[in-house]
Order: sequence, then structure tokens, then C-alpha cells
Amino acid sequence: MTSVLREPELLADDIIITVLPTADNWGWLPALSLTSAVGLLLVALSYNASRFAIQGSEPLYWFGLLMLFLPIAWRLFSPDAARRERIALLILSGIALYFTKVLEYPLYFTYYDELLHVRTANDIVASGHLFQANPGLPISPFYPGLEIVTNALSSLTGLSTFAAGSVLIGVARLLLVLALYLSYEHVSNSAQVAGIATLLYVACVGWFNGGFSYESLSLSLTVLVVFAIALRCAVGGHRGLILMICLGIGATVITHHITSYMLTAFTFLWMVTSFPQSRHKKGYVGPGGVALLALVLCVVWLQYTGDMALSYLSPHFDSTVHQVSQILAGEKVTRQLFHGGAGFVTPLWERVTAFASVALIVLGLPFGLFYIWRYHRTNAAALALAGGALGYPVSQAFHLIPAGAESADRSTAFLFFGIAFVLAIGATQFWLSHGPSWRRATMVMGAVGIIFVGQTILGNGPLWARMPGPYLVSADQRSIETEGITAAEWTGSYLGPGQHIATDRVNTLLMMTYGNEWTVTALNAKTDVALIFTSLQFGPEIETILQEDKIQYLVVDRRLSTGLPWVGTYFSVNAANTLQSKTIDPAALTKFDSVKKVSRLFDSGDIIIYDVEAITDGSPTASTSKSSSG
Amino acid sequence: MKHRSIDILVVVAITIVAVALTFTVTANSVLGRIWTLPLVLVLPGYALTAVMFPRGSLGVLDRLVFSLGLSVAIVILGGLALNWTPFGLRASSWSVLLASITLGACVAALVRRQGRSVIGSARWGVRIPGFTVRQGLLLGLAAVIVCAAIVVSSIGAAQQPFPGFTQLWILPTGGAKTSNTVHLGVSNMELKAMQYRLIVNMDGKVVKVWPSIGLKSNEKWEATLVLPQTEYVQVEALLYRAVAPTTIYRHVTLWHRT
Repeated sequence: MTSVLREPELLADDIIITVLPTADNWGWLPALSLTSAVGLLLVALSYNASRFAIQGSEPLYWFGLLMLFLPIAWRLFSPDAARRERIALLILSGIALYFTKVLEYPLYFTYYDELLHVRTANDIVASGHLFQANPGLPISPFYPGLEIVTNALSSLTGLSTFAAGSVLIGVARLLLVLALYLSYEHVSNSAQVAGIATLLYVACVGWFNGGFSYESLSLSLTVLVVFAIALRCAVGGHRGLILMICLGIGATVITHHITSYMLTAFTFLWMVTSFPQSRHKKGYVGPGGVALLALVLCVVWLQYTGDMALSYLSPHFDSTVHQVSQILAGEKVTRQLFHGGAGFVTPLWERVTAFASVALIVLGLPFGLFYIWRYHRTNAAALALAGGALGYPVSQAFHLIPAGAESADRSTAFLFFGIAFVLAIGATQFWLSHGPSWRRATMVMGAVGIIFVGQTILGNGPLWARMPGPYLVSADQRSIETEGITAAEWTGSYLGPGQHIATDRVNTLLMMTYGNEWTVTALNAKTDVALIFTSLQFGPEIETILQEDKIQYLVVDRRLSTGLPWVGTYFSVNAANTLQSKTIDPAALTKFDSVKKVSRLFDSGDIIIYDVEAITDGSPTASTSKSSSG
Repeated sequence: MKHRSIDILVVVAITIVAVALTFTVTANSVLGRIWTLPLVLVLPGYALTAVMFPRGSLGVLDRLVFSLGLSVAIVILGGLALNWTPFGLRASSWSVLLASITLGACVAALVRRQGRSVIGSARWGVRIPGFTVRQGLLLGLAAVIVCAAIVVSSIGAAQQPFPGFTQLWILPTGGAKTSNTVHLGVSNMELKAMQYRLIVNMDGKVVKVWPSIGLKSNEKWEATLVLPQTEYVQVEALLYRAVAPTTIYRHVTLWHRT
């Protein structure tokens, strides 16, 4: 039995919907708040254990996560919970899962994408204006929605960018949970389906979408727009809803390129699925107009930003197509799943769980699709969601292509909007429709637990990326530590901001955020900057690179020569996403010590900063015989 | 009218307080300025929702979602508009823009509500029940545990062990990089007090020795050194620790630029 709400109805000219509660109590909310809080505390303790390299952090982490998730899932799958209780539990789980990300690094942003956006936010604070060039992510200033709201928050409240950004993403998360619930509820007319679908979405879409990244905010706005469109389709052309949709699409379009394209694609799909309704139902207002509006706004913004999104996305697309053709032609082997940089192989149990998770989702889809076809085939929104879910098996195939793996991961956030709905319909109609049964309930909970754990493994990266801990070579968040941060702060204070600096992937992030320097990377350089650091000799080739890209300083992190990069590369991400298989020779990093006119300005043991401006200016140089003292 | 529009009056009051705080409290006083937070995340959206969707037309949850979402959308589009003005995105311009939108929408909502009757609790579509003492205790305990998790994690992150290090630097002074003075600095990040010895060589000859530089953890030492002559090729600074007086610990060099 499912909790059924009454149909939305038009009560008056400007009255949209009033969904009445089914009961007046909070049910299990207080008790489940306690279990969630304990789960969160266990996760926090596991992080600390990992920070201090204490054994047993991983089991504690999983136990905490499951304690946070499973009791709430069990209650949301139950038909007995009242609507209010479901909503409160969803808010609880959404915020608690966001906290598991925040508590990993509670003092500052550390994730790669987060730091790229911090630079854009810092530039807006410094200049008071948008569209300042960002050396690490050139497209970011042209999709500044996230940074605009962060700027408003930090300017008005005095909060730091980290605090303002964390509050904003928390609010975006809350908005996402509530908008998802309302959208699913509106489409399914069931609080139970809506609760299950929202939980599946929030729990299975990884941390990337809880980070300080433009997608995190745009997803919330997109779901809100979808909800507003659904309401508009139900009640007709309400002016307030039209304004709401216009503002929502406008904000989404200038916040994130891919999300706005996905929203446009979804509304077009919805328009197609609503054709039968529009033909048979007089006065029906479909999503066609909204789809056109979204398309026009996307194109206008694309033009306004000088096709930045196309030049940003096309290398990834080209590389994926090229690799697919190579694989089909037998010239290239498929990507080895669960094998990362530095020779890291995901543990067997994690691999099995991840595969089981994907298999359960794929196997669960037909049940949901069947019942959608059986009971909801006149519901255009439900059909559009089902259509979106069909993209999941295809997206998983992209994991086999090196250049497509990241796209496959990131597409989860969009595809799961439909997948969660289809799975929730399947679970309620097929698995839970035969009255209370402990055996069935246990089976369903087991499957949901596996899906949750598997998607956490797939979405949040390998173990070393999920947990804080000691420094690792080129491991993004695991490489952000005090020595690198203070070196970057030193450059900002003593060399001044805006210096042209070349360095590795991690120090690029630090130099452009903590040092506010102009980092020369593969994205903005004319030459292959990595060669400066990998070549064993300081020869004319390197001099040419320094001169062509007007590099003033080199930041050399000698720890790079101590191991392979955990993210697969020492330097900027390449579109082909190939893994570095050879450690940098220590001599390649110390060669600058013996070059005449290259001043060694700064030494903190691991990090050395060289002034190469004399070479960039064209002064003749020569290697000296002086050996490095290290 | 007052009673019926108490929510709008509260929004107006908070907006006025937020604007006053922006112009009277310094930006680094977070405790004073934090009260401006609703002006960004809630109030503009709430006020606009009140205009577009009169009471009784939306449930509490729908209104909350629209308020949050519209606020964020208004801020994003408002930021774009501010960018095209000479004022740019500053605290004062944000305050004026968001307050204008919020207060304007509040006036429109008040005008729209005049003459409309609203019936009892149906205005909100939902009646929010309270908690029993037992439920309140459980929720309170959960809140305490969440706070504990935040404290535990923050302390753990702040105290995460890292290998200590010392920074040594040398820079030319005067900016033109042709001066005969250099700026030297040592920063102790070793997590304990340290004793250093610093030797400065010019073209291989010792020109200055600081035999003992004592620095506590997180302490910094800086000095400006006037070189005995303006014509030189290379200045080198070598840092030694008292515990290993013969091993070079840090080493920087400065080439003279002509």
C-alpha cells in the first residue's frame, strides 16, 4: 500500500496546490535523528583515525555511513510513515550525507574542482566584477552563478569564502532534497515513491555534487525548474510559475553549462512524451515553450561567452570519440576498471560491491519501467523520467574508455534523476506491494544497502580519495598540506600576485588560490609546460618554453620524484586521461640548481621556488658545475 | 491587515536590520554581520513568492522551496546586473540591490493581500505539530552528537600530524633587482623551537654570519642585508640547524642581474 495524496487541483485563479498531511506526528524522526547523528560521529571518528594513520578507520567509516543511511531508508520504504515524517527524514539524510563530505576537510576547500572555483570567487572579491580570467579553469568565470552567490554571502556576512561556500552548498543541498521530493511526489502522487526516489538520488550521487562546484548549485536550480514546470503543466499558465521558471532557467544557464544543456534536453524529451496529452487534453500547457526558452537562453549565453563551453567540452568529446573508434578498430584496449594512478587497485570487496550495485540498478530498472508503462503511461513527466533512466546502461559503458570515464561519473547526477524514480516505482509496486513481509523488506533493504555502498565507492573515488590522511604524491585533496599552502602564501606576499608561475598539478591549485598567481598550465600555455619538470637537461628547448609562455618563476615540489601520481598525472589533466607510468627522475627536479642566472629564491625542504625571469627575458644562460645541496 | 501580513512585516524588519548592519558593522565582524545571511538566501525569494503566490495557494514546503530557489536565482541574476554597473559586486551594492528587491516585493505583497480574506490554518496548508518531551530530548541529544562530530573532526583536521619544515628565502630589495641589498627570511614551521645559523656568501666569500637565530614554532625572522659591493655575480644563503651544525639544511641563491 502506498501513501496516496490527492491530485493537485486548481482552487482559484492563483491557487496552485495544497497537499494535506496524512498524519500529525513525527513518527520515527527523533529516534532516527539519533541514529544518524551517531552515524555521523562514527564517520568523523573514522576520518580522525585515518588522519592519524590508526588501523580500522575504514570499517568504522562504512559502519557509520550505513548507520546513517539504512535506518532512514528502512523507514522511508515503509508505507506507514506520514508525509511530514518522510520530508523531515529526507532533510535529515540529505544534510547528514553532506556533512560526511564537509567533515572530511572541515577547515578549508581541498578538492580539485573546489579550488578552481575558489580562484574565481577570489577574483570577484578582489575586482568587484565578473569574468576575470582563471588560469586553472578558464570557463569558470563565464559560468559564475556559484561564485556570485558566494560573493553576496561573504560580502554581506563577512564569512570567508570557505564558510560562505559551505553554507551555500548546504542550502543548495536542502533545496535539492526538497525540490526532488516535490517533483517526484507531483509526478507519482505518492509520498512513499517520492521519499524512496529522493533518498536514492541523494545517497547515490557522489560527493562531487556536494562540493564547492558550479554543478552542485545548478542541479538544485534545475530540479526546482522541473518542479515548477510540472506544476505549470498541471494548473496551466500561472504567471508566478512562469516567472519562477524563467528566473530558474536564467540562473541555471549562467551557473553551469552541462546542467543547462541537460535541462534543455530533458524538457525537450518531456515535450515529446507530452504530445499525446497535448493532442487530447484541451487547454493543456506542455513543457514545449519552456524547452524553447531554455534552448534560446543556452544559445544566447554561449554566444555571449564566445563559445567558451564548446572549446572547453569539445576536446573531451573528440578524445572520447577517437578512443571509441580506436577500441572498435582493435588499436587500443579498453580501460582497466578499478585500476588508478600509482598502481592503486580497488580492493576486491569494493569491486564486487560496485559491480553488484550497478547490476542491481540495471536489473531494477525493468520492474520500474514496466509499472510506469502500466500505470503512468499517460503521465508525460513519468515517461520523460523513464526515458532519462534508459541512458544509464549506455553511460556505464563509457567507463571502459579512458577519456569517457569522467563523463560517465558525472552523468550519474543527471541520469539518477530518472533512475531513482524508476527504481522507486519498481520497489513500491512490485517488491513492497504485497503487504508487510520481513523477508521481502530485508531483501529490499539489502539491495538498497548494496546500491548505496556501491555508488559511494563509484561516486566518491577510491579509498585514499574518500578518507583524509597523510600526504600522497599528486593526489589532489590528499596532497594539500601545510608546506604547499605556506609556500603559496609566501609567493603572494613576497613575489606579489599575478606572477607567471609554472608548477605541478597540486601546487598549481595552491599557487592560484593561496598565492593568487597566474599559473601557466596546459589550458593556457602555448607549449608543453610539463617538459620543464620532466626533462633531465636544462637545454634550449626548456628555455624556449619559458620564453614563449613568459614564465617568471618555477615551483618545484621534490616529492614528485618519490612516487607515481595517485590521480594518474603529475601535471594538468589531459583530455585523453591516460595514466602516468613513470616516476619523475629526481635529477629532473634538481637540474635548476646548476643553471646560471636561475635564482633559487625559496627553500622549504620539499618545495623550491626558482626565479627564471632572466631566461624569460632572453639573457644567455649556461649550466654551472655547482652541485645541489638539497 | 497587520495581523494577516505579520510575515511580510517581519521580512521588512529583518531587511532593514540587515541593511543597517551592512553599513554600520565592519566586514570582519562576522558575529555582527552574520544576521545579513537571510537577505541573500531567503528574504528576496520569500517576498517575491508572497507576491506571486498569495497565502493559501502554496503549502509550507512549496513556499520554502520557492523562497530558497528564487532567492538564489535573484542573487545570481542580480550579480550579473551589478557587474554592469560601476558599483560592482560589493557589500554596499549587494545590500541596496537585495533590500530594494525584497522591500519592493513586500510592498507589492501587502497591496495584493489587501481585501483578500484568508481562512484559518488553511492559509499555510499544513499545521506543524510540536514535539513531546521524549522526542525533544532525542532530537536535542542528536544535535549534541552532531556538534560533537563537527568538533571532533575540526580538532582532528587542525591537529593532523605533518612533517615540520623550515622556510628560507632570499629576495633582492628595491624592486629593480639591481640593488646591493637583499632581504632574507627564515620561518620555523617545525612544530618545536629551533636554533639556526645563517651564513651569507657573496661570490663564494662569507660576508655575513648570524651565529644563532632562535625561533619558536610558527615564528619568523627577517633581515635586510647591505652587501659590501654592488658588483657581484651570486649571493648565497646557507641555513644550518644547531642540532646538525655541519649539514646544510636550507639553501637559497640570488644571481645578480645586469
